[in-house]
Amino acid sequence: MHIQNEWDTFAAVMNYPIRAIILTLLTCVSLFNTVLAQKSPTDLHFYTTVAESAVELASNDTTGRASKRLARAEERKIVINPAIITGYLKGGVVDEQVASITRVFMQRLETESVTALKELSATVPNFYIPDYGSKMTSSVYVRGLGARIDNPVVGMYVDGVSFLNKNNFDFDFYDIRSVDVLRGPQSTLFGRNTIGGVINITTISPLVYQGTRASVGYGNGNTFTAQASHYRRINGRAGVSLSGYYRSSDGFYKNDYSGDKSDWYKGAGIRIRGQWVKSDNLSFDNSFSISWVDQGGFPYGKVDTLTGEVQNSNYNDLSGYSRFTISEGFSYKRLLDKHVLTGVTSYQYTDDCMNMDQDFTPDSYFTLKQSQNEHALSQDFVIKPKDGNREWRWLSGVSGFFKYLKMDAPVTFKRDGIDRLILAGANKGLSSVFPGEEIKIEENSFVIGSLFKTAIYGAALYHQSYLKRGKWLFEAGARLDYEGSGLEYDSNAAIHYLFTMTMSKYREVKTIIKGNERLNYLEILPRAAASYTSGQKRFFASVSRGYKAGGYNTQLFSDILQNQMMLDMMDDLGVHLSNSSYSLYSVADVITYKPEYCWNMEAGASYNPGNLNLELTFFDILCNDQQLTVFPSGSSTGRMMTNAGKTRSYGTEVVISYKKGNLRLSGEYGYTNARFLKYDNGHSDFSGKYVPYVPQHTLSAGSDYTVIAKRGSRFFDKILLHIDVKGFGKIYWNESNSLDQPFYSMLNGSLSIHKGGVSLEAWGKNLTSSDYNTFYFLSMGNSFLQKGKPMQFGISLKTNF
Amino acid sequence: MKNLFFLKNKSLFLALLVTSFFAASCEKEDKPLKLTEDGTYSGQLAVDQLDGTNYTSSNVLVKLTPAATDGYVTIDMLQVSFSSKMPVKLDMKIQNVLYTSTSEKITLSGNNIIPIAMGGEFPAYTITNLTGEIKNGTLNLSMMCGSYPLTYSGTLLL
Repeated sequence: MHIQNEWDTFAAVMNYPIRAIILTLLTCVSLFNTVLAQKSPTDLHFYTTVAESAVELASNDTTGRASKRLARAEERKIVINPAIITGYLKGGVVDEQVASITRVFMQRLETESVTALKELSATVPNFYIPDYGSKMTSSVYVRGLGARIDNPVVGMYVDGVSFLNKNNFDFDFYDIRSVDVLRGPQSTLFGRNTIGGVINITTISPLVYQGTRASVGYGNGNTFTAQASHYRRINGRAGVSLSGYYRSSDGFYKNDYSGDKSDWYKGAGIRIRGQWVKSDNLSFDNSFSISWVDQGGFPYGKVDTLTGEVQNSNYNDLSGYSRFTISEGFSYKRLLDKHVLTGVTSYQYTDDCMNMDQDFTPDSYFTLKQSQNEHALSQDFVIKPKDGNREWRWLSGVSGFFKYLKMDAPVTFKRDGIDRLILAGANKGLSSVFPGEEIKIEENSFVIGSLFKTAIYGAALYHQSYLKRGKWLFEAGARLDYEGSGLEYDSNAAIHYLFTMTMSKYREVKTIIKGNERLNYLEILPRAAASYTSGQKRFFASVSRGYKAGGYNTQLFSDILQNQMMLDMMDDLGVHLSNSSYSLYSVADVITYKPEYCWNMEAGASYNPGNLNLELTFFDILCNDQQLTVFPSGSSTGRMMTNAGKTRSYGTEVVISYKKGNLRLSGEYGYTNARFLKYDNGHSDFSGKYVPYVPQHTLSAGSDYTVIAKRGSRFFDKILLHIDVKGFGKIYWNESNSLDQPFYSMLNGSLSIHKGGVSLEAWGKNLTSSDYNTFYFLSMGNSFLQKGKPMQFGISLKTNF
Repeated sequence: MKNLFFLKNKSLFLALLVTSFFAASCEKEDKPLKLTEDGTYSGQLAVDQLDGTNYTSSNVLVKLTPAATDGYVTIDMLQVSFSSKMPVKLDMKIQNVLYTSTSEKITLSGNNIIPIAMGGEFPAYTITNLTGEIKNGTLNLSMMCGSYPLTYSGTLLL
């Protein structure tokens, strides 16, 4: 099964080259080695060894302490110049700031076979990205905040570059050095859509690590992975890297209609990174990446209303997703006399296309093809004092962004959809008056065209101060954030109809909805925090305001037009339905939704004696106008974002890690109680009900044990055994809380044997084949669920040299 | 021309009204009235259900439009319901209704007219014995719609 869209040609062309990417990369690696090599193998070995030990230090670290050791190790290794850009754009200060941070480093990512952000669910407490739909679906839930569509609740940065399009959040991980997740609103420093936190991903730096990495893997579902990369210092002040990957899978979910797997997948990407320390006062970092995804998807199964069992997916129309992304980020750091100025300029291009059988049945109701083309530009400057030892330190910044999205989203109504969704309602009324007579539509299929052009732009000024008084650290900051947007919409359809009683020929009826909307917001986003550190103990508390931008319900337009078309046809006939089953939308009322605001209060403590690390956090979030997805009433099939009144979310997070000898233990637990304080959608009052799609509990418990071989072992240097359990639930599926996914857990593990620069790993996920569901929705009165992935296992061969 | 009277302001409407119905009489009292513009009436429709009861509906709009042929009008009955059992309302057009006039009133008449509704001719509800009168801004109609006797009385909308 292939997506038949504008990417078809590209995909066809790419099929062969993708397989050749690895060869190309390896060729490049060879060229690097032969042409550019200026360092001796000894040098490379030295750097690699230190980098590895630094990563070792960081493994299983969830507190950030090890990251500082890593940073120090990195600095030792490359005699780091202070001008070098490392980590966050707002780096250094963020490391100190009072925030709940989970840091996951490379070793843990590899040991737990983390291939995408969603696989960090539960590793980060109260962080949940359900695995469903396609790679376009990145519904992030943090501490009870989240939304299925449109603006995310977290911001994401990769090497300091802001990902402004949520569709790009779910990308394939390769050569990721660390993932930091800051939980709770980070709007003061990071602005819009960071109401739930910020995810900061850093890739391996060619100034930190030098060498060649390569791996191949194979798993069930005919899952194949290959990856190769090379990191090299050109001279003492510059380094470059080239890395790439290819992944494919036949999938795990069978579509009963076609007999094929519906979630097949192919993905590939290349990243080129260059770092240059021009002088002691100036450095540059450029990261350029291209990625491509082509997949099936949406393996939703209908729920048997009698037995409650989830059937296999069984739909007839083409469904899948493809995406092509270009990302370019240019960072620079300038040391002034008394200040440090850093900046990031980024550009992202996203071209994606989703095909969806919207009824998810073997019948031909209607399909959606949504093609998006987006250009996004962002600019961020931060200035802070050079002297980091002063009692009062601060950070000030200015940022701006612009993105332009062109979305073409035609919905094709097919025969069953025309008969059952459009004509059934109309003919029901007519047949009672004129038995035997009916309205007919000539077309076997027709298209509701929808073209949207959206421009979103924003600018912000922010400041944050840090005052140290003895064991106390006080923190206060604010951000003035402006965001504006404009939507131009053009939705239209034309059909030919006939009323058998009175008409001998089909007559055309055309419906057009055109217009534009604008939104503007000016927000003040303050934050205040304090911490007290005494030896191994630290206590902290903070209060901050979060903000998530408003937006447009573009996905509702096919419904709006479908209703309008029906009414236009009846109007043309001179027939007026007394009690219309067609809810006539007011475009102005449903097209926009408001921003979401919240106040987050949290307090906690950490205790780090020796090899033990304990962290406990309590949070309480009051949210106004929380954005939630609802399904319009009647026989409509659309979904829309609405501001759900007020919600309150409170809970706790516990993080434990312990290391003794070759044994490492870690545990992360999150509890969230997120309920509507006030939510009446016009049909039902959901006050007091749990917010849907949010897991009440997330749990991750893992253990690593390393067997170190005796010196001179011929068979292995070390064996690493990893096992972990991840659990989620209870998750309510709807606002009325009538359906839910009880708490479930999955057992995962890996066993790797290392010898020299080569390792062989066997891994498994959901080893007990836990039966659970990851997503629920309602369409045309039918309930659908996506089952969780069954047991997955495979082997990987990795080498570093 | 649809809903013309809704679209014009009151003064313009009054001017049309005078033109339509009373201008002639202002010049010469015995000159017959002439329909030159659309007119929309709002009133009550009563349909004999042939079971001893009447089905009545209020605020029913009826539009009179002069036909291209002199001496004829078209009657549009807008969003009308003929029975409580009818789940939809219909627009019904009665064409080629003859009118005659005096200086005081306009008289309407027609027989065996197939109305237009729901996109075409509606022979099952052929209009017979249509009579009507427009006088002092009031429209009264009486007709057989198929086998159902129907009466309407409405006043001109200003």
